[in-house]
This record gives sequence, C-alpha cells and structure tokens, in this order.
Amino acid sequence: MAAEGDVDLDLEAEENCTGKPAEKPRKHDSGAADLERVTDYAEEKEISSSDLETAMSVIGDRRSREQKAKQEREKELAKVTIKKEDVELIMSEMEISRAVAERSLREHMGNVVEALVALTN
Amino acid sequence: MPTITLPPKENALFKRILRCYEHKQYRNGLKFCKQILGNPKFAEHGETLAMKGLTLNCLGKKEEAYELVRRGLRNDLKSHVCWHVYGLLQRSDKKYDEAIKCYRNALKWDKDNLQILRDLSLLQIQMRDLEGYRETRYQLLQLRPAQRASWIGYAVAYHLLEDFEMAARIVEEFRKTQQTSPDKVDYEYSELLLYQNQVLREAGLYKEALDHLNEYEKQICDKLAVEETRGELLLKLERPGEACEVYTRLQERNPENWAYYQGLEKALKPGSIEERQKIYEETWLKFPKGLVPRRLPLNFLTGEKFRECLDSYLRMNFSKGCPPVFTTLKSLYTDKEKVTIIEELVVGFERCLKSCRMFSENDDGKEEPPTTLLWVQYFLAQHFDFIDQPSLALEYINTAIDSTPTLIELFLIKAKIYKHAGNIKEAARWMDEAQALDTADRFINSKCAKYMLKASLVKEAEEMCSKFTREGTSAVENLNEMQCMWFQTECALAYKAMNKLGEALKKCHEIERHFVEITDDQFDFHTYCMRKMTLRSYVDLLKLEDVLRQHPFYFKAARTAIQIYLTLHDKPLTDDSKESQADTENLTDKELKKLRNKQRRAQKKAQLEEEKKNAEKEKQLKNQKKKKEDDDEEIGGPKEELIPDKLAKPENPLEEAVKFLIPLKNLVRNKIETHLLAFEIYFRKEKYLLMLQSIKRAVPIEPSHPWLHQCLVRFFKGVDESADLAEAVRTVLKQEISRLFGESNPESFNKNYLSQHSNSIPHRLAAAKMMVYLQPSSDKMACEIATALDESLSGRSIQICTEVLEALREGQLGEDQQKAAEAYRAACHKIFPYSLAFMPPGYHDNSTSISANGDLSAGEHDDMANEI
Repeated sequence: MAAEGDVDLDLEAEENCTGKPAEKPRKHDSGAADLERVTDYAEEKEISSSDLETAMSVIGDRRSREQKAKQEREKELAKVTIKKEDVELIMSEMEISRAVAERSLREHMGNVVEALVALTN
Repeated sequence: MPTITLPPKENALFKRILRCYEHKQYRNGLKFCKQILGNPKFAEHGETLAMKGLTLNCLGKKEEAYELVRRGLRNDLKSHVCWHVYGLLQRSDKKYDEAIKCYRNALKWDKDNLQILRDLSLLQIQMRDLEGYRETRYQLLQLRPAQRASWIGYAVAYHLLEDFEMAARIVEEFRKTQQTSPDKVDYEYSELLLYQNQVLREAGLYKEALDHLNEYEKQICDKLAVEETRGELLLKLERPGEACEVYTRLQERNPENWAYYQGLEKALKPGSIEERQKIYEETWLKFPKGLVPRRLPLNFLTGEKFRECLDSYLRMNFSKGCPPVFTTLKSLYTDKEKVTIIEELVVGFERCLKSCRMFSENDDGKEEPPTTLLWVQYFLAQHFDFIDQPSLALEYINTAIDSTPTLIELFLIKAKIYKHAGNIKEAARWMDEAQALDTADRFINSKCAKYMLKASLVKEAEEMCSKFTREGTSAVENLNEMQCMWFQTECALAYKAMNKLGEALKKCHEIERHFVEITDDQFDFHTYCMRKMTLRSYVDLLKLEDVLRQHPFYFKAARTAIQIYLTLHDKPLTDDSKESQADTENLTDKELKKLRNKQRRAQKKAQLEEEKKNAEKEKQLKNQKKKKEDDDEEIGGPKEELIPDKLAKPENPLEEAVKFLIPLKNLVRNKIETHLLAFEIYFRKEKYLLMLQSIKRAVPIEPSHPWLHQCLVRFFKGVDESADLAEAVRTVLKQEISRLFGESNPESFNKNYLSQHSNSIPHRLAAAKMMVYLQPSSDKMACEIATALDESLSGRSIQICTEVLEALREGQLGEDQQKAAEAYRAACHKIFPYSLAFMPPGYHDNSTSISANGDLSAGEHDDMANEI
C-alpha cells in the first residue's frame, strides 16, 4: 500500500497536461505555440495563511443549509405518485427524455394536462 | 487476477513514467514502460500497461492505446490509476459521459484522490453540470484549503449558479489570505480584484462595489476598466455629479467612444432637446475634429436643427474623403423626414460642387478639391440604392466611375446596386472588376467570391479564394480547416439554389462541426484561466460557449439544413438522376440542348481537374504521412466523412432537421423563424403539442407574421381533422386554442386575417395560399389577391414578388396558373426592370463568363461602354 501512496502523490501533480494534446487544433498556424502552452504543466501555488479556518467555517454553514433545502424538495417530489403511461405520453408527444418528463409530471403533482401545458410554454 | 506490486526499483521507474507524461516527454515515457514490462515478472502489470496506452494515445496510436488501457484495467480492476487512465483516454476521445463514469469508479477506490477530483470537476464544468461541479469543488476545497485553485474554483461554481453574494464572499475570504503589499504591481491580484468587483456588481451590491473599487484602485492594473466601472456605478447609485466628472475624463481619453456620451447624457439628464444638444456643442469646441460628437446628435435632432448639424457632419466627411460615411447614417433611414433632408442636402451639394466647386453658392471662397464631388456622388449612389431607386443610383455611380475609373470603392457600390436590384450576375461581374483593380486586397477578393457564390458560380468562387489560401491544398479544404464560415454558408446556399442538396448539406454539417470544435476547445481553459487568474475572461468565455449556437453563422447553417431536410421529406430523392432532372424541367428543347452541351463540357473539365487533383493529392499524402508521425491531431477520432450523396438520402430527414433545430429552440427564442421552422418540422411529424409549443412561442413575437398565419391555419385544420389523439392531448389543445385565439375555424380565421391586412402584399400572399389550401376551387380569387401589385400596397419588394411568382408556378395558388404567372412576371418586370427573376422567358445573359483573373471578355467591354 505504501507504493500506492507514492503513486497518488505523483498523480496529484499530474495537473493540466493530462491527455490534452489530443484536443489541440494545430490548424491555425499563428498562435499555435501559445495554444501549446495552455496545456503546459504547472505547479499549484499554495496559500500561506493561518486565516484559513475562519474562512472555511463561513463557507461550511451556508453549504449545509443549502443541501438540506435541496434534499427536502427532492423528497417532496419523490412522494408524488405518477402514472407510467402519462410519462410515456409526455415523452413521445414532447420528444423529451424520461427524466425530464417525470420531473415535470411530479412538479405538477401528477396532473398530465397541466404538465403538458407547462411544457408547451 | 492478483494485483502485482512493484518492487522499489520498478516503482521508481513507474513514477518516472508519470512525470514524463506530465511533461509531454512521451518517447522517454515509453522507454521506461519497456523497462518495466520487459521483465517477465511484470509484463502484465496493469498500471504500467495503462500508462503505456495513455502515452501511446498522445502519439496518435489510438487503437493500440485503447487495447493496452483496457488490458491494464482488466489486470487490475481495483486500481484507481487504471480507471483514471481509462477516463483520460475517453476524455481525449470526447466521450465525456463515459469519462465521468470512469472517474467515479476511480474515486471508489480512492475517494480523496485530488487529481481525479480535479479531472472530474473539469468534465463537470465542461458539461455544465454546475451542481455537480460545486460539489466536487467543495470536496477539493476541503482536501486542499491551502491551494488557490480550490478557492477560486469554488467561487466560480457559485458565480455560475448565480449565487453572486456567496461567490463574492468566497472571493473575499480568499482575498484576505493573499498577502500583497499595496505598492507592488501584481497582475493576478489585480485580476482577482476586478473579478470580485464584477461579482459584487452582478449581486446588485453597487455601493459595496464602488467602495471596493475606491479602496483597491491602486492595485488594479486595468485603469480604463476602473474608470468605466466607476462611471457605471455612480450612475446606478444616482450620483450624477461625480458620474459627470468621470465621463468627462473618459471623453478626454477617447472622444470617439459612443458609450461615454451616453454616460454623460445619463448623468446630466437634459430636460429638452436644446439642453441635450448643448452637451455635444461643448465637445465640438473641445474636439473640433471629433466625428462622434457630431454624429450622435443626428439621432435626436429634427427639422432645421437636424439639417444644420448634418450639414457640418457631411462637409467634414466629404472634404476628407471618408468612404463609410453613408454607413454611419444608415440607421437614420427609418425616419422618412430625415431621409428627405439628407437627399435634399446632398443633391444640393452635388449641384453646387459641379457648378462652382463649393458645397453651396453662399459659401465664400474656399474651393473644394475635385475628390469631394466624387465622394458626394458615391454617397448619392448609396443613398438611392438604399431607398430602392436603382436607376438613379446607377446614374450617379457611373458618373463617378467615369471621372475616376480606378477607385475600387466605386465598383463595389456598383455591384451592390445590381445585387439589390435583383441582378446578381451583373453584380458579380462588377465585383470581379473591382477585384481586378487590386488583386492583393483580400477584403475585395472575399467580397467577390461571395458575390460569385450568390450567383451560383461555385467553381469560380473557389478559384477566387485560392489566391489567398495556403498553397498545396485545395481552397475549399483550407477554408474548412480555417473555419471560414461565411464562405461555407454561401456555398451551402449556392448549392441549395442549384438543387445540389447533398453538397449543400455537407456545408451545413461542416459548419455544425466547427461549432462542436469550438465547444471542445474550451476544455483547456478550465485549468488555464484559474491558474492565470483571468477570471473575468473565463466567466465570459463560459457564458459565450453556453450560447455559442446563437451565432448567426449557426443560425444560417441550421436554417438552410432544416429547409433542405424538409424538402427531402416532402420529395425524397429516389435515384441519382433526379437531382439534375429537377433542374431541367422548366427548360425548352433549345435550352436543354445547350445545357447538355454545357454539362458535357463541364464534365470534361472536371475530369481533367480531377486527374490533376489526384496527382496533387498523392503528393500531399506522402507529405502528410511523414508529418503524421509527430502530429497528434488525428486523435479524437477521424470524424465520419461527409458524403453529399449519402447526406441527400437520409433515413429520417425530419430527425436530422430536429438535430439542427434543438439549439435554436434553446438559444434563439427571440427569433420568430426558429419557431416557424420548428412548426414546419412538427407539422410533418404530426406532433400537435409541439406545434402548439412553436405557435405559443411565435405569437408574442409577431402575431400577424405571414408565415405564422399559414402555420395557424394548417394547425387549426389539422386539429379539426385529427381523430386519434390521446385524451390528455386533446384537452390541452382545446384549452390552449380557446385561450389564445378564441375561435379556431380555419376558414373564418383566414378571412379575418385577410380583411385586417388587405393592404400588405406578404400578408395577402399568405392568406391567398391558405385559401387554396382550405378550398382548392377558390384559386381564381386567391390568384387575384396574391398578384395585386398596386403601389398603395405595402411590402412590395423583389423578394415577395418572387415568392408570389414561385407560388403561382408551383401550384400553391391553384393548378395551371402558368398564364397568370407569365402575366405577373411581365408586370413585375416593369416594376423591377433589372431583376433577373422577372426577365422575359427567352432572356439569357450574353456575357456569362467571369474568369477569376478579372479579365472581361471583349463582349463585356462593349456592355460596359454602353452603360457608362
């Protein structure tokens, strides 16, 4: 496992050069060199500060509140019962994916007409 | 399969492989791979195999790469390295969804691996999974709070999710950790401050933003941005006195910037036109040579004051010889009164300059140089062209050309006049003449190629462009490689006009691919911009990429493609001969013979060229092969070749059309055409709710749009007649139709429409077409409605008259309207004598050849002489 650990460290430093050359258009002759540099390897700069803790705490609070609100909304939506054939009707009539169809049906409390009206807006 | 653990020596080698890969030293990397894999004990070491594959991928050996990486993964399914590498490989192949799955697998085996999290976040931002991105950035921040990128990435995530306050707070927390001395110039810190300020402004915290700006002003390098932002903020905070000072300072910096005058006006809030004008009069003294302060008042002045101001503006421009002066005034042409004043004034200039070399008889003394008269005539030609008086326009331009036959601009305008008058062939000829005067001017070269394409002279246009494209490759290929989209758009339209639908589709798809490529190209910037702290530009880039396909280039390509696919749905091509047959249908025997001869000649020529091309290609191929060894461009998979014949016979044209439509639906909602094109597709697919959607989106934009009217009538009729709709669908349709339109009887709807818009030709045409659609026997009346050409009717243009003529010829106004069509054509010919669309049947252009060298044949010289 020690060996693994070492590998990790190295991979961490891998940074922005991973697999990149593939995407580089060499076509535009001028500026090609600059483009090349975009994917060059660069070391991460570190902040040397002791204030990090307070900074972190500011952010932590906010985040947990957000997650809660989101989860509650999802839970509520999940409670709504929907019919499979309604979902399929929406999918075929509106040409959208199952996920989007389901979501809109749930948001309209399973009312297929309302969901369809909203989707045609 | 047991996992092999490398002993220290090999492990060191493996680390070197990684380092080589990071630094793009792929060949060295392979050497080390060989050293490990060469040992039979480690020949099947998964991670090394995977790394070897990844390295080979960078050298362009994709297939081998996939094989090795997969083998490596099979040998070591519990290795996050193998999964990670597989993800990277997929990513380089643009299979982003797959890559995300791989990263997630990798994280299963090593959930806190920074590099994998970072790579995952890159894909999430690329795919705009913003919620996911924020999650990943949060984890990164937790793991590495000491790294700059962690903070910035997290802030950007909130910014993109439009939680500006949170973003601003994160940036502020981060900024506090940055220790900089106030006098040191640190560009990255400066950019961070400007970014922070932008976030504050977007959060609506103007006061805070202004204080922030004042506090850190010294440390911000972009002084202009500081000043402009300050002006903007002061206006928002209703502090006009200070804002005024700021904009005055900015004005001194650059008196030609429109925005500063607007800022000044907003600050001073002039109560009357006089006060408003005074703002500008003051600047006339300060900047006597400034053009913008003289141009801007023309927007709001009227009557005598307008004339005075215009007079001095025009004199400055004409004396100096400023070609774009007409363009700067174009926006005033929506106001009829102003158009009249412009005309009176400039026609007066011309008269006086001719008689006494002065702008006006009352001017004392100063004579104008002869070029002034020339520019005045040049202006008048454009003026009369713009208000649809081609004969007068030609008169002026010909006089000007007579006096100065070497001025390229004059020929440019002459060509333009012919284009607007409906004779694109003649236009192309004059553009060619312009081009011949300076073959080293790329602008005029491109213009000429564009005109040639509009005249369906594709070969000639290619040759024209080849003067500037790279030698050794064909012009078309080179222009595609350079993403030269205007050329491809025009090509597509030209091929479409020539009924070469496959070729046209090829061009549309090429343009579409450019947009895919542009989207892919943003990938590198996710890391680069955060590293360089150019966050303002980065966020701008992301927002641009989000709406990239709003660009007119995409819109045009998509529209053309959709139109073609609709045609292909209505009249599929069955065999190869069809395409050329469609062309020949309306020709007489004589013409046919001529055409055949021409085709034969063209074929021969094409054959010769083909041979030449093949020889060249072989040569190129050899060169390329050599190049490819080092070139990594091929990775990402050679895209499927676009073959015109195949494209013209799609299995499901409507599905193909939808692919082009979707981005328009999302991004170009404000254009009515988007929804009308959508309707045409869904109408053919019989998707009533999607038709309803298109209509609901189109109506608010322009309720009486003629095309929309045709959609509505067909929609109502369709709903009436459709029997087997699902209950829910029927309910929705009924409810929405009665809510939006009240009634939905197509006949009475059409009648009402006609009576409401009986004074407009485009609307009449729409109603007439629908009359025949609903009741084929009403063709006589429909024909009368559509063909009215009375001068009192609005909307009379070459374009709409051509549409009427087409409708007559194609039977949309009833079968057998050939006679009516001919009569209509003759009537239009009288109104638009230059337009090719209305020339008598026997008419053909006797001077057809345009060579790319700009030599006019002898016959054309005669023509030219006659005209001048």
